[in-house]
This record gives sequence, C-alpha cells and structure tokens, in this order.
Amino acid sequence: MATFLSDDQRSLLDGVLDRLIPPTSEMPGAGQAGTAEYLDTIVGESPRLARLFAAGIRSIEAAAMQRGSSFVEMSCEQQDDILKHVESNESAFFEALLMHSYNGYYSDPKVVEALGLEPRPPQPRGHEVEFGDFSTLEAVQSRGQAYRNA
Amino acid sequence: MSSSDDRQDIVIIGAGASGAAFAWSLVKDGFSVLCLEQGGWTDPRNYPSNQQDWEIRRQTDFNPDPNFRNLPEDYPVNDKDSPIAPLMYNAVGGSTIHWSAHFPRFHPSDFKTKSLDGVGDDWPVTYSELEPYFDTNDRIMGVAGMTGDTAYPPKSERQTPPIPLGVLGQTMASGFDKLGWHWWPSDSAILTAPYDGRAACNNCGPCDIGCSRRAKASTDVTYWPKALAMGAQLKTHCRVREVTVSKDGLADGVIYYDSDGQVQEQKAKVVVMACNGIGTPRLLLNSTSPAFPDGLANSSGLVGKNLMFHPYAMVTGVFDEMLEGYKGPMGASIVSQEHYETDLSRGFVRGYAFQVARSPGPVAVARGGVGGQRLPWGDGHHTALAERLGHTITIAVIGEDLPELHNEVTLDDELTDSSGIPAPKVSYTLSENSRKMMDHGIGTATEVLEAAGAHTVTANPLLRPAGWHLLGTARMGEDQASSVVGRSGQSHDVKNLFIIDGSVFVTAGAVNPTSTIQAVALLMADEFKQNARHLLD
Repeated sequence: MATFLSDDQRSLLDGVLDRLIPPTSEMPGAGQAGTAEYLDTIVGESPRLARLFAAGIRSIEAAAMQRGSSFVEMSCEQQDDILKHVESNESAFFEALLMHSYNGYYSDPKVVEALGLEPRPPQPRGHEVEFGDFSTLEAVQSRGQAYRNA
Repeated sequence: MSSSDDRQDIVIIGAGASGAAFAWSLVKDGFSVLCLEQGGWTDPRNYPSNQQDWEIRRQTDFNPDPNFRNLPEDYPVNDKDSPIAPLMYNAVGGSTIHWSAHFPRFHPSDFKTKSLDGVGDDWPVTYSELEPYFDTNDRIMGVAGMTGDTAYPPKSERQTPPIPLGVLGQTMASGFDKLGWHWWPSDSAILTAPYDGRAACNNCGPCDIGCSRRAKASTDVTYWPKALAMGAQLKTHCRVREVTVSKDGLADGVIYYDSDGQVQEQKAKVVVMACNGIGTPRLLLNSTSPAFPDGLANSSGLVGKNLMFHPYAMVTGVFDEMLEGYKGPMGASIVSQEHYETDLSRGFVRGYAFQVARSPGPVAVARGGVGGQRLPWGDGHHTALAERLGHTITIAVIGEDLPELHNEVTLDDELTDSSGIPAPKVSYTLSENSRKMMDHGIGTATEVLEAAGAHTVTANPLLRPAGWHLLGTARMGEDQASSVVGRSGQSHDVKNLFIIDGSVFVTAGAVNPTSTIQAVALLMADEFKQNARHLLD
C-alpha cells in the first residue's frame, strides 16, 4: 500500500472526494469507495503531481480555515463553496484532482458493477453484439453510383 | 562507431504499415531485406484490454501521443504550433498497434484533384492502377466488410462478413435511411471470422489499446510473420539517426543507435524510408552532408512541406435509448460518404466522410467522451454520467485538408529524443476551405443524429488529439521541381533512396489512409522489382 499522503491529507481528500463524486442510493461516494488509495499511488509516482497535490490540499485547508472551520467538519454546501473556489483559483490542481479521481473511481470493479456493467476488463470475454439488419442497404443501392468517375 | 561488414542489399527504416508490406513483397520474390525498427515487439497478452485499469493505460503507456506516452523508444514532437497533435506508435507494427483498423480506400477522384477541382495536384498513379494492390493488401490484412458499396467502384469479396451493427449502428443507420443519405458497413481490418490462422473479433471494444486476440490487423500479426518466414531480417530497438551518402552522391547506409545506445553503421545498396509523414522528413532533414546541405533528397525544398493530417470534428448525440455502444469495435460501425465528392454549392471544394464511432467506457465518459467537456462534479455528476454512458453516438467528421507549403515538419532547434537526435517540430494552420468543410460537416452530422433520435447534440469543431494520419511531406510526382520521389518511391535526387510511406501522398483524401498507404507501398515494391533491380548489382 502506498502511503505518500499523510493521515490528515488522506482524511481531507476522502471528504473532498465524497463531494466531487457524492454517495447516492446506488453509487458509492468516491471517498467511501477508497479512490484516495489510487490517488495516493499515482501522486507517489510523479514528483510533478506530488507538488501540485501538496499545494492544492494546503489551499483547500487554508480556504476552509479562512471560513473558521476545518474542511471535514463543514456542511456539504460549505464544502462545495470551497471546492468551487479552488476550481476557479487553482484550476490546474483541481482539474488534475478531478480527472485522476474519475480514473480511479471508474476503474474500480465495485463502481463498475454499481453502474450495471460487468466488473471485468474487456478481454478475454469480449461482448455479444447483434449482427443487425442490413436490408435497408438496398435503398442505398437503388440510388445508384455515389462516387465521381475519374 | 562500430560498422558491420555485412553490406545489405536493402535496408528499410520502420516496421509499421508500409515497411512491413514492402518487405513482404520483396522477400516473397527472392530479394534480401533488413528492416531496422526503433521500437520492439509488443506482446498481445500484455495489452491493457486484459487489465481492469485499461481506460487509464490508454492515457499513460498506451497513449497514442508520444509526448504523453514517453516510452524509451519514442521521440517527442514539438506540436505547439499545431491545433492538431500528431499521434504514432513505435513498435513492430508501428501505429497499426494502436489504430482502430478502419480500412476505407481512397476514391478514384482523390488521385485527380487538380484536373477535377483545380486544387492540390494529380497523383502519378490512379485508383485503377492501385486496385490489384488494394486487393492483395486486403487479403494479407484480412478485411471485414460487404461488397456493393455505391461509393466505390466494385470491390473484390471481403475476407469476412462486416463487423456487427449492434443497437448503436442500427440506430444510426435508421437516421441515414430517413434522410436518404449514403451509409455502408465500414471496411475494417478486423476479422469477424477466423482467417489465416487468426481468431475472430469478440467485440471487446477498445481496439486502440492493442488487440490481444490478433483479430485486428496490426502488421506484427499479418505481414511480418509471413515476411520473416520467407527470410526477411528485422532488427528491433535500432534507432536510425541519419542516412549516409557516398562520394558519388548515392545513399550508402544508415547510422543508428542499438539497444545499448551504441552507435552502429549499417551499409546498404538501397535505403528505404518507411517512417511515415513525420519520421521520414525528420530523418531526411537530419541527413545533411556537403552535397546535401538542406537534407537528403531535398533539392525541391519539399521535404517536410505539405503536411496533411485530416481535420476531425467530433459530433456527439445523446439518446434516451440504451445503445450499448461500449460493445463492439470502437473505431467504426458504419460510414457515410454522402458528402465525399465536391459540390461547390456547399461553399468549399472537395469533401468529407462520416465515421460512426461507438461510445466509450465509464472513465472516458466522465472525462468528456470523444473530445467533449468533462462531466460536472458534485450532486449532478451521477445523473450526467448515467445519461451518457452507453447512450451516445459520436460521428467523426473527417475532412480532406489540402497540401499547403506552410504546413510543415522541420527539426526543432532544442528538443531531441533520448539519443540526442533532433525532434521534429510541426507547424499547421487549418485553412479556410477546411474550416468551412468542418462546419458544414457539423451541420449535417447534427441533422442525421437528430434524424436517428438524438435529443441533444454537441460538437467539438476541431479535435486536438486527432493527428492519426501523417501525410504529404515527401510527395510523389513526375516533375522533379515539385516533388520528392517518383511513382516508384525513388528519390529524384538520390537514385538508391526510396520513400514508401504516407509521406509520398500528393493529397489526403477524406478517409483513413492506411489501406491506401499499403497499396502504394506494394505498387512501389513491384516497380522496384521491375525497374530498380540493377541498383543491387
């Protein structure tokens, strides 16, 4: 298990992730689903992402403190306000966080299964696809040659 | 520098679509060839489609953009001055490892744009001359499709039945039928039944991350096994730096870095460039000498000029019905060439095609699908995803961009690959004709998606990661002042130097070029056998 993020950073990130991709009756929140584990791994592999995430997480905490509370103790509405602020002011970090969160969350077999898809890679089983009805091509053919002589 | 004493007859640089076909054709008729490839063999068992994180690896080590993939065998491309990012793969099989295997041919009119429409130039070859080579190539690659397409002269029997329509293809076909527009199942280099020792496609979806069943025709599973069995030599992880010339102004070999990074020299009687529209001009421009100060084979000044990509606009419709578009070969289900040929009443010359792509998996949908905006975060996120996942159809509008001198490949002043070889720099501007063409295509794609039942349609007017097709940078022609090679691929300036890849394209057509690239390479191989044998004496 990668442990690039500190416990504090990790619990903040879990809270952030549950606002980015919130829990519903059918779908787990990204915090609940453990997407932070994936983020921890990729941040640990990239010095560039590590710098971006460290600074970004600090600015989320700082924005929360300005409002007199810690992020994880805020209401969902307050948390969303903070995240919108970060989205506008720290867009490089925010977009990286969101895109990597989408990567981790939607590659998680339990999430894929909750979407109603089979929780497996495309191979080796592949998919059944209906061959289909090609009979209307007769109408295409009845309109005659569709290319230019040259 | 170590120099091997075995002077080869024919050295081919690049083991992708064209190099493989050319090598196969020559070795089949008893010629001796050595191919140098800077990448290695890929193992189909390790392709990302076998892994749960396949949608992530498409962005990382299987990213089609070498600047993101950054593997040791890749070279970077400075694409800051281009709205379209060049894509490529470096391995045995080249970019056929990651292509979607959409396999249309050029139209007869594509070879005559100057005489028909007063733009571009006529090719020194015609559709009918290429026809037998298209057929041979189809047989080796293995093509799924259906004869009778009214957009082409009659074609020979396809090797296997067409790829299945699925709900998505059927839905889209109904849209074309309502408008009375042309559509046809795509010719795809994807087997739908066992053929030539390869398995049938099982509709897994993401062809772009390598086909672990070998149903998709990458040249490492089609041409190369046959060529190697007949005695072709293929050396991997050999990164060519330049083509060397002798005192008499002929090519006499290549200098390359081997897998240990050591500089090696390989002498040859004939050198063949098969690195496609960016790699080939890059190496020629890097092959300077007192006799060729502006790069090899460049007396016309056209090496690197006239780069053509095919601009792509992506038009996506959202449907209420579940279309299950993530099942089945993603690159194409059906095509329409309703707007392919010139119709000046549209306000532009030449035309475009529609490629009806299937829809992506959940990661890609969340990130914006095919060139769209990423989905919103927060309380609306799950609804937005559920509305799209499996419910979209994307029409890729592929347009014919015309040759223009200012669209070019040069050598970057600073950027290099890991061996220190200068990286290519790409400069490209979308022409007014292309912009009008794309806008028209967005309009008609919207119309047909709505006819098929889409409730919402959005468009990306020019997809950036869309430089799949790298063409035109060493064009062929009869006139030495206005072309780099003749119809046999032979350089006008250096008689034992041949270019056989997409660089030689005079114009770009409005379809994916690989079928035509390979047919041209096979024709050039036959011309070599007939007319250039003496170079090996």
